[in-house]
Amino acid sequence: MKKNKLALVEILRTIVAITTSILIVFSIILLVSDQPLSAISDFLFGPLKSIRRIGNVIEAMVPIIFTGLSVTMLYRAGLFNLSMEGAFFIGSVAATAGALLFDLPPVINIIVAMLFAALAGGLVTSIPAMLKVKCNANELVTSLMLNYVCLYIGLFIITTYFYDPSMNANYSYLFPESMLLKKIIPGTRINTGIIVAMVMVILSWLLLNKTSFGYKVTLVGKNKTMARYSGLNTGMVILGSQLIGGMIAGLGGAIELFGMYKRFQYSGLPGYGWDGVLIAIVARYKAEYVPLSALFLAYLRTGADIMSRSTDIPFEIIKIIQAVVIVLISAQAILKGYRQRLIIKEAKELDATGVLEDE
Amino acid sequence: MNNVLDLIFSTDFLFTTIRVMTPILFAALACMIFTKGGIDSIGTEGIMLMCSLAGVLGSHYTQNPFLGMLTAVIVGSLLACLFGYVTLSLKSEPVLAGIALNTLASGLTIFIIYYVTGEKGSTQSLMSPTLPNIHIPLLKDMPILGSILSGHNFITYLGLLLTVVLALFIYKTPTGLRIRSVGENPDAAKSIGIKVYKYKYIALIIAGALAGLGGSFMSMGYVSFFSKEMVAGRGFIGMAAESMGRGTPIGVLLSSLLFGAADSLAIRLQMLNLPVQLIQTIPYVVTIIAIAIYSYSRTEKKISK
Amino acid sequence: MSNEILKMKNITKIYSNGVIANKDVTLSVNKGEIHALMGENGAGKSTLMKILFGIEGKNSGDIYFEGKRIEAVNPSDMINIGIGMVHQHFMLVDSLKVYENVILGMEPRKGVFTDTQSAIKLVADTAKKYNLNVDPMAKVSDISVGLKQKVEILKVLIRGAKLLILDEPTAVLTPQETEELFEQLILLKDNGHTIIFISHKIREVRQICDRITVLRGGRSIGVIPVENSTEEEISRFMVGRDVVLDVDKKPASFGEVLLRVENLNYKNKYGKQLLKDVSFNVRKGQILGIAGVEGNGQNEIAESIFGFNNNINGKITFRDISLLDKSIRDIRNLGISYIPEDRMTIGVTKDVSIWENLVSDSIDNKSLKNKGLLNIKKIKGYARELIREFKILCRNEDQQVAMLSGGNTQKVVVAREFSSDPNLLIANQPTRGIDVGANEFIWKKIIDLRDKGRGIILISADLNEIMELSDSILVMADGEVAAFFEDGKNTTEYELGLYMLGIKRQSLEERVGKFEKE
Repeated sequence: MKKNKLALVEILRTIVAITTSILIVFSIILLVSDQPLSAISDFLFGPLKSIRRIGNVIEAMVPIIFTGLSVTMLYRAGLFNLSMEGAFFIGSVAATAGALLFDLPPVINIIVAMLFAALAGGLVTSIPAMLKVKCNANELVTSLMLNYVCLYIGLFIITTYFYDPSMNANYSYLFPESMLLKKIIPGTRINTGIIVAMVMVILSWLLLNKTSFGYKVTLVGKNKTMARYSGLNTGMVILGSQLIGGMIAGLGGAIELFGMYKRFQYSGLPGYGWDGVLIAIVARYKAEYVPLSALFLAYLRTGADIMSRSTDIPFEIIKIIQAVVIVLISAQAILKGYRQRLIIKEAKELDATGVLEDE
Repeated sequence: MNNVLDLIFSTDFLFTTIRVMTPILFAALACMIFTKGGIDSIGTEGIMLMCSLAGVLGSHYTQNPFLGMLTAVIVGSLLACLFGYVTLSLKSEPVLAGIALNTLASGLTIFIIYYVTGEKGSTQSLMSPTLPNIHIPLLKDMPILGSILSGHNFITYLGLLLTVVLALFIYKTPTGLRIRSVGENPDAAKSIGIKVYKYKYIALIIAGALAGLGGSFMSMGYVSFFSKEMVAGRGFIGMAAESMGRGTPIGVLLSSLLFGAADSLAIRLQMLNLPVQLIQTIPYVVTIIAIAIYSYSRTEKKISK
Repeated sequence: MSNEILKMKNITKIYSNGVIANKDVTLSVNKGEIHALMGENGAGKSTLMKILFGIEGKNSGDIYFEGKRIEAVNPSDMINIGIGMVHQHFMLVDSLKVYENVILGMEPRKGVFTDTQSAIKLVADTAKKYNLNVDPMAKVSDISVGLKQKVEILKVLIRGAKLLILDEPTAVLTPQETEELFEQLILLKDNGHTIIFISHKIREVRQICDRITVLRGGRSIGVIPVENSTEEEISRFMVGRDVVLDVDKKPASFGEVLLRVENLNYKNKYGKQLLKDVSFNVRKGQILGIAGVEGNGQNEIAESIFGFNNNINGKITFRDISLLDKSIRDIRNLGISYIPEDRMTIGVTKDVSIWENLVSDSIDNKSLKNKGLLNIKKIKGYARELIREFKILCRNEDQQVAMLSGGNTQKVVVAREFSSDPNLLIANQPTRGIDVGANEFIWKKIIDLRDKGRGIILISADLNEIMELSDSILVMADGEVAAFFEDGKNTTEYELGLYMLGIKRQSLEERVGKFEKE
């Protein structure tokens, strides 16, 4: 029960962070907008006004569920590996290759393309992990650099091998119709991608909570020395977790591509990897909360998009919310006093009763 | 083939190297001061981006590029202090706070230029004076050196000058000594009564100002306007350059020069009809390899010693 | 009483995690004396001094220095009024030079720059004045522990301290360095300085101190003048029991040899030789106690056996299987368990639950799984059994280990390490700083294990523990085996002390002869 109280503190912290960030944005809107009330109303309730818009929210959830899960996996092992951004991008490049290179039966081809994407993504995130384990190179810096390498290599592959000369940018040829994910709800673009995403949530949850591998990842992330002393092969655990995290991101790249696009058309890193950081933080690095946290961001995005089209507030205001939420949720000082009091109370009670609680 | 080499190792190449090195040098110097003060430097990217815009706006409204630069410096310092407050007082995880700062910068800059110009892409429609290029008397008339070293932007020369000033500051002044002690062992500093936060904030202000200068070079020297995401990872490369340069001013300068050369090489090679994108990876690949080798050599030394 | 320079009155400190470190503590120090602050680990000595020095806040109580009430809010105020502290863990910036460390915060200036020349001269002169032999230009990371301590003392003196606090200064020193330190302290005393000397080593305190304030369990127990008091009286004050702990133990019956350590040599990453030709055996049904002043290689023996160290020379075999080049996993699979000295960073992961800590070594066991997935219900049931068997005081198995007291945290470690039913247990300081109840419980568990015919290596700095539990005793001094007693009854604490301090040493023949006889 006491444990729940501490969890309550964490939930409270999340609510404080989200409310504060939204209030900040409202104040900005009130300050700069000519039609503040309609802007706020569009922002808050716009996404609920039609099936198509609700669809937009669900569609927007898909890629960030993948990157949120990816960051969860990467971070649980205690690494600041930020190459999920590159992994997502390379995943969609590999998926393009998988879709255009072969002429396999429809379902098999899509599976092959996704496998390509997952492996490519896993390869990307494994590089900083390998450099960390083998050379003790700071994964933060190497992964940031790697994202740019991914971007340019990805664009090189697309423009060299899959470039559609009838288009005037970095566009690939059209994918075969059979490669595109099926729409599942009429009137929206919601497709089977959301189902794959939810399956990945369940698989990630199982992996992290119900397997010894997941247990080891958490232990290594929390206390590497103790994990090593307990007999765990910390290097392998780190590599494994980073590989899986990248595979999830890469798969996400493929799903987003086949779900929302008809051809490859990114000209830069799409930024879903960075969104994954926010998703994972709000979900407290727990796979089961990732969809909820993705819903939150997707809803805000859709609202902001609607607002930006009907009023004078640009969409990018959403990034202010993202930034404030990240900072406040990770701010240990907020509600610290309350948390401490709970712990002290607990310690005293335990001292006073001094009994084992048998159930 | 001679043609290729001529194109690469021309005075033009070396001139470009110095030019493209400038923002990286500032980023790396900022990261160096952050790191000396024991502060995470991942937010340098965002500070530079915000300052690129601040510089343009300051320059536009005052019609004086130097006041624009000053605006960028002030904004840079303020943002760094905000980062300091969030990590030191609110105790946010520094890496996450840095990511938040970068996110904020990428959104807020677009938000602001939209309000100022009505566009979301760039500030090309604004009249903002740029910082002058400086032709150094005597030097500019020297045969080869003149065309390499003279005629650079004011901020480039400022960067070289500041490298020396910072070296003196860090190693030869009491404040520099205290910043180093606060960054390396805050408990030790605190135990003899040094106000840890005070010196952290001094480091933050200086590093923020340096990032601000780097940012203003982007929009007032490199090009003459702000465009979204124009810093494009230079802050991150600065982190890498700092780490490769082992945190010393001379090391930082040399590794920035290396990145500048790689960047400049990429620009050169593009003219030769080589695959553009692969060449663009060069600076980043070089960084990754260099950091890996450097880190590996350090772990090796520890064991074999 | 007019002579009193410092008075701390009714100091109470409760840490934010609920631990009560000081309760109504009173400390009075006279001018010009060396005043010992004694107590076992965890008695609250360091906390009290941190409060005095303004590093930790206090919950209640008053502090008077030279008759004036002072409010200790930060160290610089304390430095200004003449209090200086030499911390147990040195407060030095490793990458800086000695003189830079000493003048940090009070740098002489020449314009905007540091006046390096006069800084160096100032440091050199002060060092000379107090006979502290350090090179101002040396880099701190390159100098020995003893020299680092001198730098610390220099830092304090150069700031004009009248009262010096030394927190366990001898813990890291060699006997020679300790002697040198004592000479310097007496010199300081003769110069009119007052010194608070924190220690739990009775012999040292008797050697140089005038009076002793004893802390126990966060409370001040009393003040004793050193003259006219015996070691026994002081130790009774410290541990608070008239009889030291005593255990019932059946006579040992040794079986075959389990572990052989032969000519073990180990150099750390800085190239310092920490183990020199160490050889010994552990048999079934034997508790081998390894005694020694901390830092004389005991820890390295444990870590070498358990696969932590790389640069080992020599042989370690367990049932004729070499342990060198084995991973920790392999070593555990052979039935070797280890209770590490540093329980908070190696023994447990604080911010995960008790059950997760209890299965960290056995998570791959088939019995904890069901179709490849972890059987959480079963694991928790298993954890509850261990909690019950080892009497871990907690709310339930889901509670974070960070919420437990020191003794209960140690029981979590012990429970896990016993749960694999080890053939050989290495227990490194198994009862340090924990309450008497937990202490007795762990002792009993260790003896039970021995009676089941298992081998045990007990490493302890507590001679009482060594004498009570061990069947055989090995003494380490300076990385070497100084003495070995096949039958621990054949020696006394006093004699062990002589070996530990390097005053006596058995000849090679004496020791080897004993091993051969087996």
